[in-house]
Amino acid sequence: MVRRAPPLPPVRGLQPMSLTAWEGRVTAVLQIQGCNFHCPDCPVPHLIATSVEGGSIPIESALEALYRRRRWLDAVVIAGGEPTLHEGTRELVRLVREFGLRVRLHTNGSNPLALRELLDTGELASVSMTVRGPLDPTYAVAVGARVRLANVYECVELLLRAPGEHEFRVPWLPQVVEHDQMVAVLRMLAGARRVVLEPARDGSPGVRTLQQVGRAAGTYVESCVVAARPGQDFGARGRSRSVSP
Amino acid sequence: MRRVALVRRRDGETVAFEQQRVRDAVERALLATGGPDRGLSEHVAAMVELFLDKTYFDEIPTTDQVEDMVEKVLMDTGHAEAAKAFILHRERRRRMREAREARDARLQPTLFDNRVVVVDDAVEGRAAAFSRERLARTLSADGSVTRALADDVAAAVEMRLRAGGVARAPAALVRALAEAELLERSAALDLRRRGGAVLAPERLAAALYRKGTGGPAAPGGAPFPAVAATELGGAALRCHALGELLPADVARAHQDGDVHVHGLSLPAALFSASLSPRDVAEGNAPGAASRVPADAARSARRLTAMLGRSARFLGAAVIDGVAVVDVPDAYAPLLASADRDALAEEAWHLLLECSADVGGRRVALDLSPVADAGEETASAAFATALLRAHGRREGLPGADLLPLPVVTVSDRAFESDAARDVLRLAADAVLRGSTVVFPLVRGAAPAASPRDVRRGASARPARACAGRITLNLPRLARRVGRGRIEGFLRACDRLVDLAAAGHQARRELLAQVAGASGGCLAPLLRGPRGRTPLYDLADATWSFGVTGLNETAQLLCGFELHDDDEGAARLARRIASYLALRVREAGAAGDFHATLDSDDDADTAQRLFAADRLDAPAAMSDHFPDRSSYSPGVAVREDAPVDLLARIDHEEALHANLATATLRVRLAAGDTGGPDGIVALLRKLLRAGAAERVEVATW
Ligand code: SF4
Repeated sequence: MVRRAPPLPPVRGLQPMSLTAWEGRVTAVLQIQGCNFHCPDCPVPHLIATSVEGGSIPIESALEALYRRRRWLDAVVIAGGEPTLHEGTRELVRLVREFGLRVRLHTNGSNPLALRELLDTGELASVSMTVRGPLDPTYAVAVGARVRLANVYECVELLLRAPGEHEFRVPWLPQVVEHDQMVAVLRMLAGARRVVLEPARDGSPGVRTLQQVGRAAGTYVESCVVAARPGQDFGARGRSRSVSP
Repeated sequence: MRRVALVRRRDGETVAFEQQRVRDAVERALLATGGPDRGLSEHVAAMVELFLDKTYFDEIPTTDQVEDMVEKVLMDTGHAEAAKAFILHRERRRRMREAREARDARLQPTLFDNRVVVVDDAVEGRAAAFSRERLARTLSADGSVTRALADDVAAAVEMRLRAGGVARAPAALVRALAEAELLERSAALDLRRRGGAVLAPERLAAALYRKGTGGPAAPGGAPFPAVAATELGGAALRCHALGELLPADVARAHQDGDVHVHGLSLPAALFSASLSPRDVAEGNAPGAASRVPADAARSARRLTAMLGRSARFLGAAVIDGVAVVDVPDAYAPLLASADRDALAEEAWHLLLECSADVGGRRVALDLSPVADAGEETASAAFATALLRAHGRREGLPGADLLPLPVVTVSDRAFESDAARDVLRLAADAVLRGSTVVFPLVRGAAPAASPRDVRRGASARPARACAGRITLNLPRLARRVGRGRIEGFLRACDRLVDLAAAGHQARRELLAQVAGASGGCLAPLLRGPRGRTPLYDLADATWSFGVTGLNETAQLLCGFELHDDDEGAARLARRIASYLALRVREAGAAGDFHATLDSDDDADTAQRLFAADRLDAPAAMSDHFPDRSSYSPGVAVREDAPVDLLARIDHEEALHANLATATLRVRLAAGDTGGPDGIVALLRKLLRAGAAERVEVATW
């Protein structure tokens, strides 16, 4: 019997150009439908459902759009939802790599098996993992779903070890996660190449507080920045360099 | 029942009977005596008609008879007051008619008419009686009109003056009448050559006590006197240039809006020029001390002062703009040992000196740190200091007067840390709301020359563009019609020829200026005392600008450049490459360096659009109903629903055909991810070979 390749994941959205999805790179963003978490402040709630009732972009036209712009792009960001839920993601990464584009994958860290497989192919230039809190029962609240903390931890370990420009995004839900816990998160990520602290969607707890956290715990990681405040780096490496005139 | 259908008017003509007119007359009469009453007036009018039917069943009533009938009906129905008002009204009308007829009879010119028409000559400041003989002589003076035709025209002009009952006519009117008569006889004479500069009184008033917008204004709302004077002087010079300097057909094409000749108010000026601190140090530039002491160039402050003076001087003498190039490069040796504070102070002085005056041209300041390896750090440090001072703006003039920063992006800029920091700082300036221009230079080429300066293939690259004429492509497209692409290209030929003729005329003028003994441009073009001239007229470029290419494509093929239609893009490319070829040919034929450029000036596009609206209001409102202007240059429309990458993709192929074209990138500040995002974009554009120049600004 012939084994068929798994179907490509359902693409719900295509952002043709983004300068923020991978800082320092010109990227296009593919949004994959379906997620196993229910984060209360999910920025893309329409992507959570696993069915594609809301309609999806035919994968061919999304790929064609990427192909046409490959000269102007550095990389493609495969975001979610949670792309690792789909077996076809590997195939999608391979196709994009064939256009000569680098790939960054977004993940919520719930699927270390798939992540390891993807990393082992060597096709991923970068993984951006979202860590929503310290590894204790608050995590389940922050992601709105039952979660195996061991999985999240395994993913963190994987990324700390694997070569590549991996980064951790740490969004802060101020009502759920305390200040001290944020520092604990940064400590858990010690040795990471890059950590991005993000305020919640309503802007709380404010950039100032985030900068405090960065100052308090930034030294554990190589580079630690606050989203929307580029040019200021609290990490061990970037401590001395900042551009603001 | 048969109805009255026709009425005979006083002049004998028979016209249709209009009940409405009777009704109106009755209503007016009733109004004179009391309140209006629609019902009543209709009733009376119906009655008038009824009586007319009865009385004039076998003949056509005259207007008088109809009016009599109205009178009678008003009387009979008991509206005596109204009838009286009506009678008075008739009487008044009759008297006016008679007076008019009497005057017309008197004005019928006769053979023995001995009334004198006085002609006021405002330019010469005297008045004289109109003389048919003198007009005929003037007309035939330059030989392009035969004496017989001139006599004929002069007689016709006199006839028209007398028939108009004019006792005193301004010379301009006589000229206009003569021109009209000549045009009617299809004589190929251009009378504008005799016209003085005429400024309409409204124009003067607008310049002196302008209300509303336009131009920098003094605090009270009125423009600065100096600005008003410049403007009025410019208007007068424009008249002169159109009347005397340009060939007649070019002047007419400009006035009609077929082409736009830039800088008519500065006829003897370069279009744009670049200036380097080295020129100043060598004493070649205007405003530099004529004899530079050997150690003067060592003093950076002295150099700055002289550079500023030169830049301002040039700013007043060019049409479009001045670019100061090689700045950090030239300063690097001077400031190699300076500390941070000294650098900052020097940068502040330089920015202050290079700022434009109110109403003047903005200077583009090249900040790209390029130098030999040894001086690189000093040059980058000075560029950094300049950008920081630009960002702080402390004690400097307003943002629109500050020099426009230009930072070259080359592969080298990504190799060294110092150069990359300059780039990031420039990107940061963009995020703070400045506009920064980034020329993209691939490979190891030296710093790009500034805008509009031909990329040097020759040994001595030209550093000045001497004139620009912009072609109104959308109008041609509209005239030849959808799908007729060959016809359109033929029509382009004519415009290119016209523009070449315009350039030739300007070149002759500039050559005269260069050869003149006085004047401020002469030293620039001639080279004082045996030095090489700063700008060599033989090396200068002459620019053929194009604008509204997007609309042209739309008119010719129905799609806009950004539409997902290969046809539009292909067509635009074809037009651009054809024009590039034709322009090169025109340059070779006329022996000057011709370049095809994108005219990114929004004012030009606006003017051509307005001219086209006058030219064909109906067609224009069909094609561009809700748009206020053509998109300037060869760009995809600013508000087109495409993302940035698609825009680059569409424009890039066009830019390849043009000597200069700027990719305008507008970013929302939140989407850039900070300076790094902008730097990443620039780097990608450089690598992908997207454009020659990128202008980045945030919304
Ligand atoms: S993991 Fe991401 S996509 Fe899934 S619910 Fe959370 S925020 Fe939304």
